[in-house]
Amino acid sequence: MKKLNLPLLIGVIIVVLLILVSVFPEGFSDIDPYGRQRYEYDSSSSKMVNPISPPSKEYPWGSDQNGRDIRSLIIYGCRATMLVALLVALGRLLIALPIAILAAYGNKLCRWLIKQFNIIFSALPIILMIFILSRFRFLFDTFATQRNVMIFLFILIGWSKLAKVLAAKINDIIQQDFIEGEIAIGKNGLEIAVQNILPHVIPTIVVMFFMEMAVALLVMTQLGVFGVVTSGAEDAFVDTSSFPYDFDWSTLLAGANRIITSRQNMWIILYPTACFALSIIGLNLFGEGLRMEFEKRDSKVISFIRRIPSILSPVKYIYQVRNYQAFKSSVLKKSTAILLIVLIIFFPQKSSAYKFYSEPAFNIISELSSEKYQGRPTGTESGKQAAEYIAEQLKNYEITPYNGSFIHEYEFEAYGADEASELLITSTGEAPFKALYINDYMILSTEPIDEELKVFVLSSEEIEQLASQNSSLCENQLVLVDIREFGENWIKRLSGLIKDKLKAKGIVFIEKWYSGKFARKVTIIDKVFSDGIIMSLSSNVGDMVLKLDEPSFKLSYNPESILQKKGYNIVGYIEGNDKVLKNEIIIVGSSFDYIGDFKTIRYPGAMAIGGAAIELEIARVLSESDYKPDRTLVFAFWDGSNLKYNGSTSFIIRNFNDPTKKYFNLDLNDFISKGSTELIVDTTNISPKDKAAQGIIKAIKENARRNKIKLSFGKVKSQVTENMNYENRSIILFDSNDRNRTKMTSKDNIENINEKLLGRAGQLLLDVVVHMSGDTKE
Amino acid sequence: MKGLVLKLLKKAISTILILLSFIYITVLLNVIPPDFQARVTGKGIITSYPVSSMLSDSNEMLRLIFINNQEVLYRSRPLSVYLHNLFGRTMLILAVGLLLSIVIGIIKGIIDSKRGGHGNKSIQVLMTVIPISLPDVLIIVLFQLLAVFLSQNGIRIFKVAGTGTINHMLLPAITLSILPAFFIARTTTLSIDECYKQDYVKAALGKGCSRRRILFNHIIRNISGIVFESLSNSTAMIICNLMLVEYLFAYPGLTFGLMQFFMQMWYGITMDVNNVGIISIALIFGFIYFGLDFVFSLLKAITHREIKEVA
Repeated sequence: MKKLNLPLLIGVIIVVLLILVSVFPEGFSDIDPYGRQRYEYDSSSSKMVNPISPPSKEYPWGSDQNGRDIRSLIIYGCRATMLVALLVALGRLLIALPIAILAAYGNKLCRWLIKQFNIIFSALPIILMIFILSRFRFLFDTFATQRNVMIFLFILIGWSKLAKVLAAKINDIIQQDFIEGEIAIGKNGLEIAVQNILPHVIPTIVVMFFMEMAVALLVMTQLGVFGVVTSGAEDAFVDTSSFPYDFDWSTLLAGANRIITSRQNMWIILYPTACFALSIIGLNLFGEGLRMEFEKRDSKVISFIRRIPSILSPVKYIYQVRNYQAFKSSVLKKSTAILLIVLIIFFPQKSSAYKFYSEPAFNIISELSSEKYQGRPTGTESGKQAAEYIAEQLKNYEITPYNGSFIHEYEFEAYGADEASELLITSTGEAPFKALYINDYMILSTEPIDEELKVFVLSSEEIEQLASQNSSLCENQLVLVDIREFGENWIKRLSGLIKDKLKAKGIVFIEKWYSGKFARKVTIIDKVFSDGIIMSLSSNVGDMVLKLDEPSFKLSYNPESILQKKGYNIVGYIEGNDKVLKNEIIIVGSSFDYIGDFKTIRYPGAMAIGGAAIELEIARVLSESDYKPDRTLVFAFWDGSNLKYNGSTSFIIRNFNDPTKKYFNLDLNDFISKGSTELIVDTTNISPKDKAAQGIIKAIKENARRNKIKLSFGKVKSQVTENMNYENRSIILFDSNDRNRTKMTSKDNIENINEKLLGRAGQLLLDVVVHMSGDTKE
Repeated sequence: MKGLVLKLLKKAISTILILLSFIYITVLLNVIPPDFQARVTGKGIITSYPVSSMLSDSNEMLRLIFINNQEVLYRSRPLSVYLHNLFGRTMLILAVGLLLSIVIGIIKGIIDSKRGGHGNKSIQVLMTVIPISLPDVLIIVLFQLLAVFLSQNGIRIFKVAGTGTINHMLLPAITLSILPAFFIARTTTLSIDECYKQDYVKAALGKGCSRRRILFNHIIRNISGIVFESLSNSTAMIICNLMLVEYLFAYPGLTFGLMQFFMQMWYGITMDVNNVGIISIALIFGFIYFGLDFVFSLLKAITHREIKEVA
């Protein structure tokens, strides 16, 4: 009886399981990994209870510190984890193999490289090495995402060990007699390498590939414990509160030290480490099993692998079909397989119950982004006009007004428009230049200004020199610094010197933004300078000032004042038909306000009104059809989304806060520019225990596939989630990405809207709303 | 003789150069600010931080670490005193852990090996590959669960997060010994099986030597060099393991100090002592690596003997 290759068998089972879980996570878990169990109030102890839950019926593998289901986190994180391991192994092989071949041939440079890399990256522990190297921002700028940076570092640190092993193996092959024979018949080095060495090295490469994957996973566990993650976090370091959306298993190990030393809630790290262990064991056994097979002379596995190209060859298939009688069995098997694949790919999708039309939505965007509404700023006449337009549409659709009226007014405090700043740039021998506020410069000051100040244009060396001399040259004047190539740390250092040592009245930065582009003040003027004046000049105006001889700024500025204003929310609804379910309220919400035009600069805010346009079209389609929802469906349009005092919070607290009812909030943000490629969905406000809400998330994913929309999960900023963290409320937020960065700029106009994608996104959202409200027609 | 001296001299110079490069590269990497950028423009290369400042900062750092280390204070004491204490504790669990790993590894290796018999290769592979595939974190978690279980049953021999008693050191040292032990066991097993294929062992068996005698007189003598070689290859892994063990058990060794300094920097507390502390600990880990590598190489050279043909 032939001995079973147990390591290979066990390895194959585990590897196949990993592949299946990576490719079809929804098949293994019904719970969305991003949902969190909220803190619950325990009346017996009068305390808020931590959402951590040990393994139970609701949470088979327990929940973590933030109430996330660990099992679904592991299942959904499998893909990213295996991807990192795969890419690291591939990267190391691609670098190590050619260098190993050259080193085996005697190339001194390659041998030196392998030796030095081995010494350098062995002396410092890999954890420490990655700690130090992952700090560098230029890596992030080069590789775009944290995961790519980590993959690069893993490859950089580990390729030399693999090269050493391969070089030794290749050297053994080169010493063989048959190689001498190949040299004797006149083959050159490259031919020998490709035709003779590589085929003999391939078994080693295959084995090493899987083992390198296992090594990569092992390093990931170590880094994860220290909070250094490989996934799409903004920073390399993560703790349990800053959980990235594109996570992997190592992310789940952050905070492990606190758990282990406290000896409590050990399941939080036990299951992720067990999965790591299972994967590493599986990959190592697979590699070892393959090695055992390759060492056999009569291995059936090897002969099967050799026949794979022949089995998959279309030419052979056609030949077999033509000679059907001789190859009946093979043709039948292959044809069945082909038919199955075609059916899976092209299986007809179920059509939507209600059709969404993009043209009416596009027309609404066109209307509300027109000049008539002046950028729809909250608390202004044009903002009110926009509200009235939306109310009129709801009335035309015969939606029921909430509490007898569509428009619901509320009062708030806001800063007045900051128009009161003037800057005149003068110098010796040049005509004065009047810079436009917001357009050419920004200013921040707690005190009003109205004076002429001398401007000292200094380099960083000059600043350091004057500071060391405690010079009073710049006292109570302005210092101008070109910081366009400087990093944050250096800017902070210079700012400190200018303020403390030079005692300047203010500092003027030349930054990378260009005149005419809208940007929030806070993103430009965000420097360490506790009092005094901070100014930011656009790049082009800054270049002009640099050429001036002894410039001065005649500057006036009044800090912004606070005013009383009114905002307008618009709310209508379709009553639910089911006696029980009508107390479950679906609130489809979106914001219609925007930042408002500024003097000659138009801010149409087409994307910003996209959500409201889709919502209006959904309302129209459903009201004009025979739509009878089980649950009550509310259409809400919020004002004040760009302000601290937003419309939704006050309205929801006053009107949708009944603890005996259940609320599902579906909030739509900005849709959809020509630079948008995917919808961003935020499901972090859904409890893992809430089966109805989990069903909605599943419906979103299915409808996204049906409508060919790419989804990504992330954090969406919305006023709806502020102070809304209640057990009876589930909130799902939608947004779209904007690769062309037209949001909050004058370029966010109607020409920027992707009508086709708007239609598909609208259809997806309509299908989801219909699913949520439980219409019997569906 | 002259040739040997020249060879040793060359080796010594090469080692010193490597050490010096390692020290300077480590210091420089830590001194470069995280937002460092370099761009090639028409005017040449523009950097976001002057290179001359970085080099002078590196020199200043080296001066602080090696010459004026009494200037840098941590908790009102010189940093060097603090680091000295951390180093002592780290070396203690490292020494105990390595000793345990050698003993456990060799014993397990002997048990796992076929010792000239006919075992199932698949089972042998499973027995050697599965233990070395276990992540150190899992081993630590399992040991902590064991400690909890023992504690709940009145056996409180394992203490966590502290120092001063042997109980604090026990669990970290045992955990530290496990993975290297598995590696040693695997190497031992493979070496023993190879040794049993040698002619002199077959001759000894043929002459009627008992298996125990063969094991102790021939096999273990000949595999000891290979065991130290495997330790030499696993030095980096042992140090990573050490960092993890210290961190997860909150053992106040070098890693504990390192993480303290890192966390202070991460939270924006920029003081010289943090930088000096991190670089010093990184260098100490490097010296531990070189030191261990040297010791294992030396032990390998002493114990690795040519396999004798025994009649």
